[in-house]
Amino acid sequence: MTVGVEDGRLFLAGDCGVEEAETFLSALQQHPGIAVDLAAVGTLHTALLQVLLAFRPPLAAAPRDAALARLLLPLLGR
Amino acid sequence: MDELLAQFLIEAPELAQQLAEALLALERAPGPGPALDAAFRHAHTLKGSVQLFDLPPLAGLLHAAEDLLGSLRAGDRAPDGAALDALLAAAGAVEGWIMGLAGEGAGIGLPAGATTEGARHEAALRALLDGPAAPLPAEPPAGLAWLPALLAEAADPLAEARAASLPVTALQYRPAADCFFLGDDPFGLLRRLPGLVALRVTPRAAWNLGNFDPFACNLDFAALSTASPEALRQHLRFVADQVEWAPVVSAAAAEAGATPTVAATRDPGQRLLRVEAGRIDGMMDMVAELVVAKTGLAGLAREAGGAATPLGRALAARQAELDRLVAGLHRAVLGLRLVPLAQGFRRLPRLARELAAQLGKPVALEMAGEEIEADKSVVDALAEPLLHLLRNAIDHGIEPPAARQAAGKPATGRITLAARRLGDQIQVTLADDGAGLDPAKLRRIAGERGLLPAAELAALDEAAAMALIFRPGFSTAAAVTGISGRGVGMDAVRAAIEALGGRVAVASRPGQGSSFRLTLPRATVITRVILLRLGEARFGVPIEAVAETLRLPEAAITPLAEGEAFVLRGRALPLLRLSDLLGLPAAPRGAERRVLVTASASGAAACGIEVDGFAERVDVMLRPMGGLLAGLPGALGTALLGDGAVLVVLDLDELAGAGTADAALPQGAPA
Repeated sequence: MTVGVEDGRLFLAGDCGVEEAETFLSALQQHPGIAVDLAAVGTLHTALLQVLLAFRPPLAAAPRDAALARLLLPLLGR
Repeated sequence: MDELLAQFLIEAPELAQQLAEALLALERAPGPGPALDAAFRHAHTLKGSVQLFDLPPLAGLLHAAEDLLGSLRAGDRAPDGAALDALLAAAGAVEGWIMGLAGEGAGIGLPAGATTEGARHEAALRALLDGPAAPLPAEPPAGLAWLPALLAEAADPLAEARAASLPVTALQYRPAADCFFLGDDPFGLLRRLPGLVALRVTPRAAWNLGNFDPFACNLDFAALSTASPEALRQHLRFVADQVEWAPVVSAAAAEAGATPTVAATRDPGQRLLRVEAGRIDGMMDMVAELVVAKTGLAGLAREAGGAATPLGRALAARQAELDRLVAGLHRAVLGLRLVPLAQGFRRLPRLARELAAQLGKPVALEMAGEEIEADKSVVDALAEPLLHLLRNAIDHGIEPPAARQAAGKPATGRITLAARRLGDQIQVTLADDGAGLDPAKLRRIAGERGLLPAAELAALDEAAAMALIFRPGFSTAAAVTGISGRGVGMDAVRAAIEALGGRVAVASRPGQGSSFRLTLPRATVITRVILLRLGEARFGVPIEAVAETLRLPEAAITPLAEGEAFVLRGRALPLLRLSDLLGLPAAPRGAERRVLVTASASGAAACGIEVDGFAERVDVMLRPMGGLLAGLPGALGTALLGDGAVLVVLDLDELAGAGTADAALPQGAPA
């Protein structure tokens, strides 16, 4: 399971492929305002990035992968 | 997360400060230019880092500030007073919050009321954004329209790549809307792009959140890379039809005239290695120990027979070489700790602006010599006294505009802060063109507060009367104002400067202004001292303070009515006993007296000081007296000896001066 809600946070973990985009989107829509935890994300498909960019959910944790965090956070910050 | 937080707590205060500085620079030179670009960039970077943490008021505020700066930059709005006031107020709040964060320790959080305050600032900024639209900027050129935004956003990585002489290639990748169905993952592809230094992602069309299709790609990507064009083309060969290329060097060069955003505004101080201060202090301690350890060689050389034997000569030669190397190492480590005074000065312009507005006294602050470097501990400790002096100058020195005009001065008060280097010292002078100090008034107040008996007050010359303001319990404010009168007087300034091993002096002319001059050591220095024995105790004396050491037979001493004297090369010199000067019990004497003759730097009369014996000469790192010992008269400082003992280094001038007393210099002689 790479998309899931736990402790009031929406987790993305491991390799998140395009097939997760719909699950992720509906989780966001079902829990408006929920914070997203990206700590354990390995790869993040463009489709998921697009959901993050469009809906801009609050961020509970940045990716632990420093290179990904460096790339991703400015994009989400914008 | 912890690492991110630690990095954030280091960087955020700097960014906040740089944002405020850029805004102040923008106020001085309104309009598009490096200051506006820098402000935008700092706000953007800071916002990016803030968003890593759960600090919504801070993030929202920065977002609004960035939007407003962006619209100023695009020319949608003029950077007028209203915009700058709102931005500076917001930057002030941001800086305050961030400073608070850094002090919190484990967890981070904003003060109560931050949400309301943030919302207020944010509303003020947004109101300006929604204000009357300014003329539209010129149409961007059709081709490569994506490039300027990318270059502006990636100014830092770009400058880094330039500095490393790496070629930079820019590209735009516009994936087809149905690309996900073809198995494309543009973000994944670009994440693995060779030499990627910057990535920008923008929605192609406005988001349709109500009916969002997660499988239609609505993103455009732009990226900068330092890899070779061939490698890049190879990497993107399967989507080549969706990619547009631009070599950045020529494009940016063409742009350089119009928007000098890319390289020119980069702060040269930023490309630095960040090292924890503790590590450098650790090195410094090691150097201090090395200094002590190498002095042991001198003893060895003597034991080996000195210059008379080959081994003694060899040891002495090695010692000389080691001396030179240690001195070089000491200089190098000291150099690591040197920072420009600007770090201690940077809060001052904003304080001046705020105070001037608060008190209704227009003030222009001019600074010079900020580039001069001093030890970080000195620069840090200097900031607080300077804030106080500046407050004092604006509050008490500068007159209200009407009074200034009546006196034939420009309505705007002028304050100058100038630093210069004098050998191993730095001199910082803060001068105002205000009303100046009135010695008669100072005497009267000192009398009222009972600081000195009336007769002594009357006997003070002008300079000494002005120095009264440095006495504890003195405050010239008739009414305590919210600004200067915080129970911290000028005596606190003086104490802070003296704790640094410096001194402060004041000079003033009625009606023309006052100037405060701070003289401070640049850094700690190696001092060569002679060790003295007094009973069981050891003391040090700087070698420059000693003219010679003597052994005097009892017969050479002439007893006087009050004390003793001896004759040295035809001159009679008073003989003082160190144990008496220090108020310590005297040890029994041997057949001869051990005497050192002082060499006074000021050319004052030399005298003999009797001690119980002399020990070796050592190089020590002299530290100013701190804590309980701070007020000890007659001591220059302390030093650590090789055996771990703490050595008190004596100020013979001061000690003997109390005994032989010619004229004592008034405290704080005029500049």
